[in-house]
Amino acid sequence: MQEGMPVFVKIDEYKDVLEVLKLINDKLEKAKSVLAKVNELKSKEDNELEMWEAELDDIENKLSLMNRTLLDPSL
Amino acid sequence: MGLDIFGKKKNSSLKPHNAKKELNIPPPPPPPGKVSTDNLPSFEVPKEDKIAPPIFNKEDKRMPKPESGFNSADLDKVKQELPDLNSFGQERSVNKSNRKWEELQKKPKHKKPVKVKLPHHKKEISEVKKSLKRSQIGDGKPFYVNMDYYKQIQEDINVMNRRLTELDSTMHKIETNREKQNSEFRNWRNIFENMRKKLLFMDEILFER
Repeated sequence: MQEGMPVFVKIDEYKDVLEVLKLINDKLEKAKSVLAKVNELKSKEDNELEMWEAELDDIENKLSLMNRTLLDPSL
Repeated sequence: MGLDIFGKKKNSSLKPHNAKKELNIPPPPPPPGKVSTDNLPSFEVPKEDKIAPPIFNKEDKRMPKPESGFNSADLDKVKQELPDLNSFGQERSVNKSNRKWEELQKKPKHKKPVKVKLPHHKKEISEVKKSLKRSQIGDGKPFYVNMDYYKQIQEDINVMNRRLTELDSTMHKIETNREKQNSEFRNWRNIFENMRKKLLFMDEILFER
C-alpha cells in the first residue's frame, strides 16, 4: 500500500446517522430555548430581588426614624 | 355444700348381689389357657371333596352366539377395495415426525419473550431508533468517510459526551441551589410575617385603634 493514499471507512447506515444528527440538532435547539426561558426568569427574579432590597432599605430608614423619635422626643 | 353428683345412691334397688339375678347376666368367660370344649355346641362341617367347583358348560344357551353372516370371500373383496393402510401409516408417521422436528427447530425455545433490562445508553439508542422513520432504516447505501475525518468525528463525539456529562452535573448543582434558595425564601417570608405582626401590634399600642 502506498503512503499518503487516503483510507476510507465504510458507514452502512448513513441515512440513519444523518437522521440522528438532525434529531440531536432539534434537541439542541430546544435546550437553547429552555435556557433562554430560564435566563429570562432569572433576570425577572433578579429585578424582584433588587426591588425587595430597595423596599427593605426604605423600611429600615423609616424604622430608624421611628426609633429616634420615640427614644428622643426632644429631637 | 356439694351437689353430690358422683355420690352413690344409698336407696338404689339394684344392689350388686341382686343385679345378676335381676338383669339375667351370663357367667363370665373362663380365663385364657383353660378353654374347655365340653360345653360348646357342635356344627356339621362339610368335607372338602363334597364341595365341587361350578362347571361352565360350553353349550350353555344362556350366552348367545354372534351371528356370522360374513364369508371369507367377502373379506378378500373388501381387502382389494381398501388401500394399503400399513405403508400409508408408516409414510405419514415418518413425514409427521420430520415435520415436527423441523417445527421444533424453527420455533423459539421460549414462547414468552423475556424482558431484559437494557442499560441506560442502550435504552436511549433504542428510543432514537424508534423515533426514526421506518422507511429510512435499512435502505441506506454504504457511505465512505475519510479515515482522518472519521477519527475527528469520533473525537468530537467523545468531547460532546463529556460536555453533556458536565452539563448534567451542573444541572444537579443548580437544582441543589434552587432547593436551598427555596428554603431561604420560606425563612425570609416568615421573618416578614413576624415583622408585620409586630408593626400591627405597635400601631395598636401607639394609636389605640
